Amino acid sequence: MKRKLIAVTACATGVAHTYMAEKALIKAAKELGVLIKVETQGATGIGNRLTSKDVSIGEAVIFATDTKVRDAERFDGKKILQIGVSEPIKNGKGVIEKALKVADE
Amino acid sequence: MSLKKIGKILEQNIMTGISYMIPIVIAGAVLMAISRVGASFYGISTIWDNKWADSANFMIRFLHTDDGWGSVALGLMFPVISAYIAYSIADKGGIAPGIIGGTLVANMNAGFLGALVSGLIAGYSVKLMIKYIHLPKAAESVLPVFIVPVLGTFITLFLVQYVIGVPFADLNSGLSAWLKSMTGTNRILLAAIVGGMVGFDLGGPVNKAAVTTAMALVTSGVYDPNTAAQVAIIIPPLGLGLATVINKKKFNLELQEAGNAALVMGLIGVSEGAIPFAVESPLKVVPANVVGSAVGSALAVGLGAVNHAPISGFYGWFAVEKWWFYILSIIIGTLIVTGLTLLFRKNVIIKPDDQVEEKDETNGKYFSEDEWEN
Repeated sequence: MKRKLIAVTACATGVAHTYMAEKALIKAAKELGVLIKVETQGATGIGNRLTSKDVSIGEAVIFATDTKVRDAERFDGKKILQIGVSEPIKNGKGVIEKALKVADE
Repeated sequence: MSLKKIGKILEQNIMTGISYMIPIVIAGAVLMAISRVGASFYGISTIWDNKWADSANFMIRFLHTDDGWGSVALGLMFPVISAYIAYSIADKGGIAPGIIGGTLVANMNAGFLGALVSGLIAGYSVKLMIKYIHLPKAAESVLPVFIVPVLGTFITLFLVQYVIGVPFADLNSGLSAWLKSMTGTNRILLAAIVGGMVGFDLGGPVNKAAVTTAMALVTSGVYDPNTAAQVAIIIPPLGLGLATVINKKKFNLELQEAGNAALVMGLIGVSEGAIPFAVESPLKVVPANVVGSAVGSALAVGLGAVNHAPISGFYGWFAVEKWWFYILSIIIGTLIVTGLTLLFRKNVIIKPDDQVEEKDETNGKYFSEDEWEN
């Protein structure tokens, strides 16, 4: 069975970084053979909203956010890796590996 | 908790506030810019003056009204940033004290910094109240519906009025007076510094510090830093995008793709388009960006262009005073970035298998729902 992660990305303006981080996370996860679902909290609203089922499946949550995560109470009780939104863009694989480590703790 | 962690949390709270404030600033500043540029066609430079409200010309009366609309919007800037910083800290309970505190900040002219502090006070006072005040079960709802709004607002207003209000107002007026009094080389130097900061990390902390300060100064009637910042925002993506078009051999396929995106992002005013390049070879890209942005900003301010709005995209160019100089400065800055980039970079060898990978990645979905659930 493949490892599974979920993530939320958000930046201050909500037009660029949010989506670049999404792409970077997906790319890195794919390369590492990890499944990931990414929710984008951008200026035009929430994209790919994670369902409660998604939340229960994900082993850990990556918050790649520079701002407050909207509806963060959905993730209460989950293992969370909080990082800045530009970190996945700089080092996507490192972030995925770190999240897997958080999930294993 | 470590100091670094506290800094991160503060940054996140303030960024949340800024992200809710930006649309208000853009709406207000553009309404105002339209009115001022429109008025300049009638030879009027004081369209906000009440005497124009009785003008015989409908257009002039309308432009005067439109300027007022801009002021209404900009007047909400401090209440909203204060409210959403508090919201970021303490959720819904923070909004009421935050928005009221921010309005007092605006009334006292305590400026952008005052609004930040007001939001922090409102947020943390509410957060602490929710954490430490425990009421018997039957009276529990008294806390969110009565105690938090009343006490939170009282504490925030008290501290803004008697502690931070006056010193921040002095700081604010001193700073804007100092910036307004700048002339000649100092003005141009300031513009170059702002431009260099903006070009340095493309939407990172140094960039945000410069852009936010510039934006805040617009509300005090100081436009030079804003003009400099808005020019500098778009120079790096345009310059790097242009470089990929001029000499494809120096960029791998991924960057060529990023170059096209960067050109579009540059035109609509998103500095982040240049990030893929900065990530790939920071030591070559960052100096080119800093130099190009600094020169472009210094030129724009030096030639007397004035951008009243926090908009860098092309749709804002024609609302700029002396827009021809403004666009010229952008072009020169862009060419500097392009030239330096091409100078610094060597040709790359493109592997044939690079091509295949690019295709299916953009879609995002690389596994089925079944695989996810099992």
